[in-house]
Amino acid sequence: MKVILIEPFPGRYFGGRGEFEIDAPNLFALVRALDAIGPGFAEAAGEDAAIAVDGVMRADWSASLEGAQEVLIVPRIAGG
Amino acid sequence: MNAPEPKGKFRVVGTRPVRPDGIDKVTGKAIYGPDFVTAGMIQGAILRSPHAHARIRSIDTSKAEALPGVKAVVTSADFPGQSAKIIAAGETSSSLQNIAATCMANGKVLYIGHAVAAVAATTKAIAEAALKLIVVDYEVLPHVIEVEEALAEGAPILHEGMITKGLDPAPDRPSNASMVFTLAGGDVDAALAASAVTVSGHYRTAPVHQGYIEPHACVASWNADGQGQLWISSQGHFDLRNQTASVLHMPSSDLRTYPLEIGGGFGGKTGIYLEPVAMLLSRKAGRPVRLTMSREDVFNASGPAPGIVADITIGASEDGTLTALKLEFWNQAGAFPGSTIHSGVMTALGAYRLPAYFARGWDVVSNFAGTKAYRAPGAPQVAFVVESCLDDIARKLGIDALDLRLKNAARPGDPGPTRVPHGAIGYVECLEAAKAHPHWSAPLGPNQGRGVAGAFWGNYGGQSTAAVALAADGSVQVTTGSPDIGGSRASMAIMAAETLGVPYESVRVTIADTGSIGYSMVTGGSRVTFATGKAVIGAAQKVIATLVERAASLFGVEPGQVEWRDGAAHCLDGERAGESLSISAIAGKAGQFSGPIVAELAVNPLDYLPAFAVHICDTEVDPETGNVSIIRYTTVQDVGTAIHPDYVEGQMQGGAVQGIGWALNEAYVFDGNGRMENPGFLDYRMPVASDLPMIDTVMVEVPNPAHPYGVKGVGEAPIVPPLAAVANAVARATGLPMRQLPLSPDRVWAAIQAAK
Amino acid sequence: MSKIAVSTTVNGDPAEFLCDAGESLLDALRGSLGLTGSKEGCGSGDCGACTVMLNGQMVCSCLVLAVEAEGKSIATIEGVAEGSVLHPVQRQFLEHGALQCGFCTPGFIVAAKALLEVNPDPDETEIRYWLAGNLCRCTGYDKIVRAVSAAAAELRQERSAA
Repeated sequence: MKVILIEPFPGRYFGGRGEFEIDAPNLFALVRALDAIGPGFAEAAGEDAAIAVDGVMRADWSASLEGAQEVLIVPRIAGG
Repeated sequence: MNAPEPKGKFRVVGTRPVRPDGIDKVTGKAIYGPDFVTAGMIQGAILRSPHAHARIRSIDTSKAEALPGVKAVVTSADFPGQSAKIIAAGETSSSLQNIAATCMANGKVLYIGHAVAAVAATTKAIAEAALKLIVVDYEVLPHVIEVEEALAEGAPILHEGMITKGLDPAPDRPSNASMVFTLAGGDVDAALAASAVTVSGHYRTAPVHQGYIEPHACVASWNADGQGQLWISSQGHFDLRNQTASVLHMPSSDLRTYPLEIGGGFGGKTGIYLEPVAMLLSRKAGRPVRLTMSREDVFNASGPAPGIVADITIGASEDGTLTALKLEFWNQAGAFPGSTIHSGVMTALGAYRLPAYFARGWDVVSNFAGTKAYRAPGAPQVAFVVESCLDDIARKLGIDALDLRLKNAARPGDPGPTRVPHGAIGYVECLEAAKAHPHWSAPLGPNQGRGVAGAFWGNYGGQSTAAVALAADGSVQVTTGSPDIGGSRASMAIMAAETLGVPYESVRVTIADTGSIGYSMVTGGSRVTFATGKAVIGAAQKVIATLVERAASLFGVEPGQVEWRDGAAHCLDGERAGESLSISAIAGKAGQFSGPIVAELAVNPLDYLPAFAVHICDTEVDPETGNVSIIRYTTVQDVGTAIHPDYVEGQMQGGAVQGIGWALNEAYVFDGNGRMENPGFLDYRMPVASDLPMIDTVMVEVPNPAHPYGVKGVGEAPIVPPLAAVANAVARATGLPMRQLPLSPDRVWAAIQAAK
Repeated sequence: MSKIAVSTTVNGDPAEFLCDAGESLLDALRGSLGLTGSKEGCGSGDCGACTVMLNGQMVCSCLVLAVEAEGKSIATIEGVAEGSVLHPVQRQFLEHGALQCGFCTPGFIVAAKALLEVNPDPDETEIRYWLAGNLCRCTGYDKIVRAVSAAAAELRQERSAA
């Protein structure tokens, strides 16, 4: 499964790298795998990330990723 | 306009009933933040910094403490130590250190008005007299206000050791730039070089304030056993409780927080300022303590919206197809990092198809109050830049301004700014409705100009909890944790009534305190009608399931043989086929079933959709004075489905007028000492009734398929287009570019003179 | 410093309170008299949220000293409805959705009622200029102007029927 991260995450945790190929059963496992590459990412993701699976924003990180092609991790945006 | 207008498939949705909290609010009975009183309450007051940037050498509070009537004095020494831990603050997040320092300066003051000490006393007069007895020894430091000053070589650094995040390689020296955010795709320089036309511009806006009429206020009571109570007017009493409890190192459940009516927020009441201070005063005094801000405090020490400095270039082919957009902007973030650069970048990239793009935002701190969310935070400033530049392209190519936007507008399925594809968006529908509106083709008089601008706001969903409970008589109690800032009790009641099939008037809505229902995020991000609405509808559906089950028992059939319709259970089969049981007939028998009929639902929906808007503005410019009058204004917006059209129109009109104020008059003006020169409503000139025409509204309804009634958020999008719509109108009236806001008479007059 | 005793009339009823010499009428109304319907948005007479009638004159109560109320007659938002019967201005604000947060609403209603007492048939411009001393940040004024206009029509009808 293709994992794409949008700034600030690549710069802050992955030495600028923004694309990975990782398979994981759900988003918790995926974020743990990313945290092993970029320590600190998991905590930041929990506070600041929004995650889309195949183009749809996903709230529940425990839901299965079976069949997913692309996971996009972007910063959460403020509203007023 | 109260006449019901049932439209098609809905019975209550789309009608305009009187809001349930209406009478209290037109008779003066409603209790807002500064109105609340509790037994034994005493008054607090805050000492604020007279310097824009200074180190605090020492604070001597002994004389203040000795003043008769003084019950408590608090400084940063009374705050627990803070970690750099990041916690949710409204819809963004911030470090606990900065959240605490926003409430009370720790070691350094970063802006005029920064809190340095607080007193609680038996009267406000005594508390204020005590403030004068506090001696603060300051070492005054040089300060910076504008972005260019803050980034200049040798500029004083606000936050020692702050290294800009988001640059590769990372800078080796601290600066006032906290963060850079960039989104890029394609080869933007090559695409611009190959474009038939390009237009560039340098733009600037000033910090502005949300301008809610109710100043911040709270009452706190903190007992010796660690349990406390807070009464606040805020956009989210759960989030403000969590922030306060985190700063004070107390369990959230020890701090029961009660929502009072809120007198406007627009993003500015999503964070804490007074609350932990009032809590600490209360614990020392052993009494409940009220703290309030004056209007001057609100301007100096709450959270305005950032100013912006921006450079943009847009390229297009001869037929007006956009080829590339290159934007770099610098947010004037105020004293603390974390302004709205992400949403600024999104705003630049989400509305049009762009084969190549580069958008970069800088978060730059300087010595005025830390900025906070303001209605579509970060978007209006960037939309001003992009939509003004697009107008230049349209003029250069001789293309109608709406046709240029229609040609390039994002459509459903197009990649959004972060590559997440757009869902069922309605930008094209809005642009077409604007083009078809008589306003677009109406004749103009001398010195008049017509401007148009489009834009969008992403909206949000997120966590909400709602409960629906039936009384024995079948009347309905809806409970949420989402403060009602503009009529959301009415929209919750409408959606519950629609779902249950009961009259609007039989549903009553309570905004419950943190001890009475589960968590809900702030009222912000245009999320309440969408997300809390989903929780209400879902809880109502659970109630219906129970009603159907119980009706089936009463009919002696299976639940599948009972249909819920028009507020009653209808038996479809068996001996009693054709009979029905009303909601009250079923609810009244709760004693013969497993108990009362109640359902609670917690949700976290993220299938929200952005709102697109197009505004048309006619201005008349007085060439003698430079004064700009708004003579006609039309707002068009994709609202998904309007649950209560009066309050949707109200959002569109109110947002447009805030944007008009931003475009024409509003700005923080600083003197050479970093002091805001206009911290009052006389000189910080917000629009008044006589400044304005009626604001026409066109609600385009492209429903969100992920919401049972098609809701999209509506509150924020209306403030995104007006800055550019007004500026484009003035530019067309004068034939001159208008790239710095506000377009105050002196600035417009100077531009006219310079061109002569 | 000793307090000053003030005897006045509030919404037709006798009222007495003690105040400091420098206390504003708004603070006395909201504090001693417990009438928190009048709001403080600015404390400098710029927002109109504290609008009350003082001997029939529309004033910002934040700019009036409490001691000035001695022997005078004050009308506040709390006295606009007659018992539980809303004034047409109040009713039309609700019918038109002319409030969002509602914080400025008491001031607008007192001011609009005062307008309709001196000008039963104001046009849009007259309404807008009369209300120019009242700030609303939520509505953009459109629905407020329409509500006042509708209330004027309702009052004219009542008068002609009477």
